[in-house]
Amino acid sequence: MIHTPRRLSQSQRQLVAKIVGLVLPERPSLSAPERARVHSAVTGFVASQIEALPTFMALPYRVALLAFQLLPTLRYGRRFDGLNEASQAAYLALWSEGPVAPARDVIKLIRSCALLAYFDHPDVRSQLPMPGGTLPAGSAAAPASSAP
Amino acid sequence: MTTAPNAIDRSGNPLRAQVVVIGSGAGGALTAAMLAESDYDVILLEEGPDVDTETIPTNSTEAISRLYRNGGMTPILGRQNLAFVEGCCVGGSTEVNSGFWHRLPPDSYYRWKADYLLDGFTPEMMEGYFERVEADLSVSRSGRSGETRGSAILREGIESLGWKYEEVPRCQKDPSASAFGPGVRQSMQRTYIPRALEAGVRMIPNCKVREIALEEGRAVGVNAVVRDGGRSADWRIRADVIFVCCGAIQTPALLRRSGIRRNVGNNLRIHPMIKAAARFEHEVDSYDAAIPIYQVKEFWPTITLGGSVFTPGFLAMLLSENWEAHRGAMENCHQMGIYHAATRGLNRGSIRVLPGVDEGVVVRYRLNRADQRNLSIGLARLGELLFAAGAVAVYPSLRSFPVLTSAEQCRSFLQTDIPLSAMSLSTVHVFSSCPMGENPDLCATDSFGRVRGFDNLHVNDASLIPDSPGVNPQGSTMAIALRNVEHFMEDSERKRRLPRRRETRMPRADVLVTGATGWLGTVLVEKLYAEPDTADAGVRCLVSRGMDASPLTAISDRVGVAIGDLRDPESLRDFCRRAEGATLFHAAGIIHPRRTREFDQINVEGTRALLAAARDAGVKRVVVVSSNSAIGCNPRSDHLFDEHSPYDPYLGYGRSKAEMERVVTQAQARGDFEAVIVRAPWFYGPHQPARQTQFFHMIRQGRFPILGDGSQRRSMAYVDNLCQGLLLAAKLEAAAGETYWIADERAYSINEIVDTVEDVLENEFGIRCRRSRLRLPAIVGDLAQAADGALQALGLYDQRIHVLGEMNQTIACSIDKAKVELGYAPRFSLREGMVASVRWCLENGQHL
Repeated sequence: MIHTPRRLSQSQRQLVAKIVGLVLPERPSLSAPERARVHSAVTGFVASQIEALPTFMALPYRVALLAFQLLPTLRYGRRFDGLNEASQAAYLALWSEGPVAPARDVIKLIRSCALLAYFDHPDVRSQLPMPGGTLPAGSAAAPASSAP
Repeated sequence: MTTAPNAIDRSGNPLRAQVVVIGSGAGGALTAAMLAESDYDVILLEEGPDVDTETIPTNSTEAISRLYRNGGMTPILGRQNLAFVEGCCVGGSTEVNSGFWHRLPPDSYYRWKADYLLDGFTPEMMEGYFERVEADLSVSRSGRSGETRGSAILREGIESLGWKYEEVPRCQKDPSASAFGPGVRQSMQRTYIPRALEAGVRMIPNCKVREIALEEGRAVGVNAVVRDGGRSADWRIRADVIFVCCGAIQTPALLRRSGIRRNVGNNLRIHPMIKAAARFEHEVDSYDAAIPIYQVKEFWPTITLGGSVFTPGFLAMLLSENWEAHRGAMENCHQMGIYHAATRGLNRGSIRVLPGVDEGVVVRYRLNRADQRNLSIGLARLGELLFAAGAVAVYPSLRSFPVLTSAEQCRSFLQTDIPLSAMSLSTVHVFSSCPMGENPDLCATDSFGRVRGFDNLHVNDASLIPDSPGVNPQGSTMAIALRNVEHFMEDSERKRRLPRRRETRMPRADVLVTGATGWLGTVLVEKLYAEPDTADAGVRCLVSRGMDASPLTAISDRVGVAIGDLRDPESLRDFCRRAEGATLFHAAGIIHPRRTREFDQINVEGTRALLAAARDAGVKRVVVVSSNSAIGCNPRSDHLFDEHSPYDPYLGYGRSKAEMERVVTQAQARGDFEAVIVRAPWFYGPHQPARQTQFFHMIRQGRFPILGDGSQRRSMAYVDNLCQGLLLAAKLEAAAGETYWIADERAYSINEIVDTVEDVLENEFGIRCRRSRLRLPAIVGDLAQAADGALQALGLYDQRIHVLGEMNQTIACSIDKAKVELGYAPRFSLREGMVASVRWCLENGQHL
C-alpha cells in the first residue's frame, strides 16, 4: 500500500507562504501585526488543504510545486524564492494567467483557498462593510456544499 | 455527541456484531437506528471524526478542514473537472448541507421500473416511508413568515418573470429560523444517531474500512484501520450482516477494493452546478448564511435555479476566477449574494480504485455536449432571473469572462455554448453508482439493496438510486434506506437467518445443540422432541452464519436459533445465555477442512471456548460427540476397540479429537459440569452431506474402490442409533465422567457395506447398479495414507486422499459398555439404515 506523506515539508510550506503573500489583497487594510497573523492563518489553511488532497493528486501537486520553485533558474538564474518581489509576481502571473491549464490549476488551488480563508478571517471580516462582522454560529459548517 | 462507551472491545478478540453498518450519513445512521431499535446488535463505523458540528467555531476554514472529505476538494475528473463536496464526520454530509428536502418525483418511479426492473417501488408504497422520515427530521416549510430578504428578492424576481417555483422544505425544527442556527437543522447528529446510541449501537468514529472480508462467497466482517490521535491500529470486525452506507463515491470504492465489481461504480450520475454572484443596489442579507428558500422549477427536470450559502470568503473564491478584474466587488459584499444553476447530468461517470494506493479513489465524469448546453442555458436563465430580481451586475464563475450587466448579455448563452474549459463547476449531488433493481446488466444490487451474489451484504445509501432524480437526493436516499432496512428485517425474521438477540427476549434453554444444522444435529433435535422427557424442552441451536435454520425451527416452535461460530467466543457466550441447568450436546466439528489448522481452531480451541461459556452459564451436563479417529485403527481385522483402548490418533483429525477429549475430561475433573464423551464411528442416515451421497453414487456406478480383499471391518452408526446413545448419555446420572462407544450392533466388512447399499438401491428402489467393483491392491491405501500424512504435515488437506487412505483399515469398536451402563440397544440394522438413507436422498432430490 502506497502512502503519500501527508505533511508538507518546511520548504514546501515556505513556498506556499510566499505564494499566499503574493495573492492576498491589500484591502481591507490591516495593521502589520494583524496582517502577519492573518497571513499565518491563511498559509496554515492553504497548506492543510494541499495536505488533504487525495493521494493520487498529492504527489503530482508536490512535483508541480517543485517545478514552480525551480523553473525560474532557467530564466533568472535563481529559484522562485530568490527572486525579487516584482519578478515573483510576474512569474506567478505567468502560471496563473498563462495558456497552460495544469499550471493555472496549481495556482488556482492556492489562490482560491487563500482568498476564502482571508475574507473569512475575523480580522478581515471586521473590516468589511457587513453588519456584525463575524460569522453567525454554525454558519461556517455549510457554505461549500450549499445544496440545491 | 459521544461514542458509546462499550464501543471498543479491549479483550483482544475480534470485535463482532450481528450487523456492521459502515458510514453514519443519511443512509447509515437511519439503518443503524432502525436495526438497533428492533433489537439487533449493531456496530456503526464512521471514517470521520466524532465532532459536534454545533461546537465548530464560526470560522468556515476550520469547518472545511475538520468536517469535509479531502478538505472539500474531492475532484471529479473529466473534460472539465468538477469539485465534489461531501462531509466526512459523524453524520456525514447531513452535517454540512443545507437540509433541503425533496420527495422523489413521480416520473422516476416509472422510469426506474422500466429501465432497472425495480420491484416493489411505487409512489403509493413509498408514501409512508417518506412520511415517517419527514416526521423524524421535522421536515417543514416556513412560508412567507420565514422569508429572509434574500429569499424575498429571489421570489420577486421569479414572479416578475412568471416562472414556476417552489419553497423547498427543510429538515429543521424552526422553519422560520436560519438553518444554521443552533439546534435548528435536523442532521443525523440531532436525529438518528442519538436514537441509535440510545438503542445500544456501538459507534466507532475515525474508523476507515479498508475492505470487506469475504470467505466462501460470504461477507464475514470488515478489515479496518482505527486512528486514535497520531496512532493507528488495524482492526478486524466480524459480522453476520454488513450494510455499506458510505455514499455514492466511497461505497463503490469499498466494494471494488473488496473484489466486488459487478455493475459497481459504472453508473455514477451527478448534478453539475455552476454558480454566479450578483450585486444589487441595496443591501441583502446573504451574510447571515440564510440560503434563499425558493427554487425555480420552470426548467425542471433539466435545470433548477436557486440560492447558495454566502460568506465573504466564498464570494472571494467565486470571484477568484477573474480576481484582478473582479476584486473590487468585495467592497460591496454586503450587497451581494451567490446563486446556482444545477443541471441534471446526462452522462455516466465511474469510480475506480488505484491498486495499492491508500485512498486512491478516482472519480470520473465526462461532461457531454448536452451537459454543456444545459449548463450554458442554466447560467443564462440564472442571470436573467437575477437581473429581474434587481441585480445590477452578475459575476459568473467563468474564467476570463467579463461581468454581465444586462439580461440580454446573459441570454446570449442560450444561443452559444460556453466553453467547458471556462467553467468552474462543482456538485454536491452524486448517486447511482450501485444501482438497485432486477436488471442484471445494470444493477449492482437487487431491488432492496442486497449486493448481487451475496446474501448478507447490503448497500443502503445514495448509491442505490438508479439514476438522476433531478432533485436533492437526501429525501429519496433516506426513504429508500428505511424501506430497504425494514425489508431486510422482515426477510430475516421470516427465514430466521438472523434472530434478534436481546437478552430480555431470549427464552430459557433446556437443551443446547451445536452442529444442529448438520447431519447428526438435525436428527438429534427431532429425537429430542420425540422423547417424552424432552418433548416440551426449549432447544437452542448454534447455527453458523448463512446456514438455513428453517428445517430446525420447523421441528418445533420451541426451537431457538443463535447465530455463531466455534471460533467466535462472544457468540458462544450468547449461545449459552439463560441456560442454567441445561444439557449441551456438542456435535459441531470439522472433519474435512481446507487447511489442517482448522482442526485445532475448531475441534480443540472451539470446544475449549464452548465449554468455558457453558461453565459460565451454569450448564449442567455436556455430551460431546467424539470420533474413532482419536483412537486410530485396529491392529487387525478381528480386533475391537473398547473404552480402555489407548489413544493412537489417526493424523490431524484424530489428534484434534484426542485433544478435545482431554479438554473435556479436564473440565469434568474440575467440576465445571458433568461431561460425557460419545465416540461415534462413520455414521449414516437422513440429512447426509454430499460426500455420503457420492458414496452411494460410486457404488451404483461400480467405481467404489475396494482395497485388498475388502474383508477389513468398519463400525458404523445409523443416526437414529447414535441419537439414542446421545440421549441416554444425557439422561443417566451415572454416565457423568464416562466415555462410550456408540455404533450399530456390530461392525461390517467393506464388502458387506457395499453389497448392502447395492442391494438396497436395486431391490428397494429399483435403481440399477453396474454390480462391478473397483478393486485396488492394499498398497494403494498405504500410499494414500502416506500422501495424506505428507500433505497434512504441510498444513494441507485433500479429502479424497484421506478417505482412500482409511479404506484398507479396520476401525471397529465394541458397544458393550454402552449396552450395559446406558441400556443402549441399537434398533436399526445396516440395511434398514441404508434404506432410510436412500429414501431421504430420493425425497430430497439427491442425484444417486
